[in-house]
Amino acid sequence: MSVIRLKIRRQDHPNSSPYWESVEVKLKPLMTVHSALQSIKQWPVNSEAGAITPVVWDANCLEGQCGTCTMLINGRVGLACQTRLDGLDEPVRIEPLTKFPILRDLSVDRKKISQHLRVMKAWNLLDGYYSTKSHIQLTQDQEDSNHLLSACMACGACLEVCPQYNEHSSFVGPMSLVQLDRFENHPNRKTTDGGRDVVLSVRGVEGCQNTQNCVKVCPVHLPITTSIAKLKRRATKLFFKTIFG
Amino acid sequence: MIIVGGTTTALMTAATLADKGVPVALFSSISILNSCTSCDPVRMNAALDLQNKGDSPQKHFEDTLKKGCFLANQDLVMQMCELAPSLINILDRMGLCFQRTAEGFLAPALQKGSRFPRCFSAKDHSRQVLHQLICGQVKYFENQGLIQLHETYDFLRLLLDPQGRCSGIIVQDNHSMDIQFVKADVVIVATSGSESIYGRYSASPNSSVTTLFHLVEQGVYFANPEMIEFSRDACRGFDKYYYSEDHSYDRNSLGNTNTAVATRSLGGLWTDEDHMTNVDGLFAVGECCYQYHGAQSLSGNLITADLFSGYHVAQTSLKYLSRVEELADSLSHEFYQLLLTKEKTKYEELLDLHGPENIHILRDELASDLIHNVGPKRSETSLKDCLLKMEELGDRFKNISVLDKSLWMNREVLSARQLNAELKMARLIVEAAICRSESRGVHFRSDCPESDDTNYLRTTKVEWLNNEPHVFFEDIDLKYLPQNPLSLRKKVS
Repeated sequence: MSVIRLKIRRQDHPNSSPYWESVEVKLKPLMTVHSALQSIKQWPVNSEAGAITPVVWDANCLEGQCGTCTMLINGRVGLACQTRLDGLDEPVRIEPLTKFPILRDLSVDRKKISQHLRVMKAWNLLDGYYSTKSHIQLTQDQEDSNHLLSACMACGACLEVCPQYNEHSSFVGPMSLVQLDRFENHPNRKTTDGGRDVVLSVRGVEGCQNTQNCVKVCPVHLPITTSIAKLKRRATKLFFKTIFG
Repeated sequence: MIIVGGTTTALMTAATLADKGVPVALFSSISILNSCTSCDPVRMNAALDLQNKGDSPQKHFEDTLKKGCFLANQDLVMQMCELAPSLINILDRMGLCFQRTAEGFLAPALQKGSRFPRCFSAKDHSRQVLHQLICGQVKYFENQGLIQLHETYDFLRLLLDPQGRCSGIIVQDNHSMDIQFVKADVVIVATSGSESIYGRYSASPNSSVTTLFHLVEQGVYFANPEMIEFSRDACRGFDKYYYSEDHSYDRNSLGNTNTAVATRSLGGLWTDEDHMTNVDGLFAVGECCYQYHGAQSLSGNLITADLFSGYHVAQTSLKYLSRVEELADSLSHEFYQLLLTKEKTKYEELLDLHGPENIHILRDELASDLIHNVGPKRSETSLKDCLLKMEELGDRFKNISVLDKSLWMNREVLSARQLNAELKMARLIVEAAICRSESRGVHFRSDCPESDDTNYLRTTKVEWLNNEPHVFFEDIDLKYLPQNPLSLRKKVS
């Protein structure tokens, strides 16, 4: 059975220094980065046959649906459960995301994503949790847009690669704008003020410079920049309305 | 009001309570955005009868009971069927991308086992979409200050007052590893079910039986543990399985009998119609409670039942609160401190383990034994073989090593705790499967292939006493339909 060499960037504590760990893992058919990390738990030795503690990483659905296991594999952002090891350049470099604070090893603190969803008001406000007995009718466009954009799992891949999303800028990032666009298109969304001030400012659509990195890495292939372009058009209309009435 | 768990049901319960203006504290071991336990497609049954085909909650109820081989308690099933249309309406207004007709209204589909098309789906999207939607609702209530999220906490123990009533929980922060107690008069448990013991399962690796077993150990009854649903093509992902040297995974072999996958546990903590367990103040909802499905679930009922239970418990737990006299606050500080010290000692003992056995290899052995001996086909021989294996694994557990001695984000200690819980839960499942000497729904015994209504049209109930499971049977509620009416009788294969 062949062996694959991994180089994992580890860190024991949020405030400690990172270090590289070289590990060799027996390569099995269809093996993914996740299953390689899993096998280290059963055989926790590094490439010098020294004992190590198992690597800490986050995973949830293992099917590419939840976005929890997003990390950098050979420098490219991807989901650990969906990235197959065969065919990758060795040693395979596995690193945590850079735009989020590291908690331990490959596990990062994703509270920022939750904050973005709260600011964008990524929900429909209901009168109450009871049946209104009336049925909602959606147009084909609304149904298609809702279906398409619901796939956004807030994995953070687009935030990782967006050059405008960083600690020096207040840009909310592509993910937030996709979530906003998704809810704006639903007929039950009576209020749009949750996104309006964000949309019109540098934090919002003005921040997007159309680099298109996000579209390349989105695990569910969302047309992110199309959503942002729609929001930009809306922002321009709003802007003219405020000047000319 | 405390909710333990980060599943979709837990979030629905939290949101429903918050919608009523009740403040809730939710304790989940991981961030709620990442805590969806299953990637099954969204399929929800509701007798909305939008296309006037003659469907009704009564017919939905009958189909559910028949599929469950009449083992389900009828009162709650009827309540679920009556409320399901409202649930669909609520989810639609929340923005779930249901499949729609040409005119733009909700489009139901016909599912196996149902006589009418009543299954609403989100096309090819998985439950993650539903989970995220309800997450959004929870975020709204969080903004209003009604829901407090504690997203790095593992459940350790239930706090009981001297009368045996629920008075709070002891939890461990899985980052700082600090152990603390939180007082509450009502605790609602909504962690997922016990199918994760099987290794090959369709739930998430974060789903564990630790919470369930800790409750069972404290005297909470468990019901129908032997009812586990299996499927062959359950996983869309190719990385769901536990790896070991003997079971090299092959995607193409998914069609063989050897590659059954545990998709759902239909059994769970025993509850009454108010979703309260035998401990006053402790409620269980969703997959970790045994109601609604009986011996097999009607295709499309799983999510409906989960969300209904979350919605329903919001009402019943408030009713309980309004009649509970003495509040949890009145207990002494020393009482809590003593329990905390006990938990800290147990944690330190686990951390100290340094034997030759590897936790994850043992888990894998347990899983592969279970899938063969306690899988879709069982027999008294295979079940007793499994018990012997459990004993061996139990002895080897004493020699495991917790390889990570860190006091920050120590996942190995949590795995050790989980393995201990899994070994005991597996024993509980096997004992119950031995006692139910018949075949019914998903529980198939090759040595007793027929179903035996006279002796076994009863709920299996398990009590954990003196470190052992004690199995007994309880009559089911036959409120609406008598035992196996001829018109709805189905031969169990």
